Amino acid sequence: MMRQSYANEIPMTIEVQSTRRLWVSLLYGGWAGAIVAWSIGMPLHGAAQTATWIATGLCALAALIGFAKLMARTPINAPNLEDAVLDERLVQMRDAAMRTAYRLLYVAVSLAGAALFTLVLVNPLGCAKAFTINRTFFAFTSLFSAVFLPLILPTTLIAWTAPDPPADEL
Amino acid sequence: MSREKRIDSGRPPIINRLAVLRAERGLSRQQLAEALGVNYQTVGYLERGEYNPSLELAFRASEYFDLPIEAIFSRSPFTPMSEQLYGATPDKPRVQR
Repeated sequence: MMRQSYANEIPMTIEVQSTRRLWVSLLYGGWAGAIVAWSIGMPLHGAAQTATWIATGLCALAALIGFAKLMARTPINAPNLEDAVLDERLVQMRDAAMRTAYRLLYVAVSLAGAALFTLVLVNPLGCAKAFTINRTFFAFTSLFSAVFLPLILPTTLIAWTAPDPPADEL
Repeated sequence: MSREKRIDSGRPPIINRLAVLRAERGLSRQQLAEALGVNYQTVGYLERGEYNPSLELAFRASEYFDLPIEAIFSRSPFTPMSEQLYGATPDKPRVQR
């Protein structure tokens, strides 16, 4: 088997934990903020609505910055890099993050499914109609939550938990 | 998460002499990483005992340094080389001046 050279495949520097956590916060905070701002702004009119659209845009921009930083070609983003550039330690790290992400998503999807079932079909609060009115909003947030966030979740787990590298490795 | 609680937490540590051998040969981490076919950070993890190598990687290190595996990796702490070679210990230096 031909030996692969991993040493130069991924950039040498990875940021300190506090910086990585800032990106994760920007990503999820921006995402949540955009959804909240959008849902507040939808029924409004005039300047108030414009303000909420601007807030939505800023939050989305923050989320995109966090996303771009986390998806960079660094060891932190091992879950989204091709196998050929990962050595055995990075493969272990990626697999552990994937496992944790799967468990988290399993719980989150189960809870969200149960909540949706209760709200839409059982309809204890009489609010089922609201879910059909804002179909675009509902579709957008569902797609975003189902596709975008699970894609990046293993990377954010590594970015959040990986300890600071020693000074001579920065 | 503290540095001590790493991927291999719960397993007995494998002690190695990679840092000493690398220093002896005047290699950088990057050079050793290229020779072993791993990411440069993995060399740091190995040297600090924060990652236990696979048997394949241990054999690669053994071949690269041209030493038996047990001379590089061990379950118990290595005897210092000065003590092995000259019988000197920190409390009993061999050469008295």
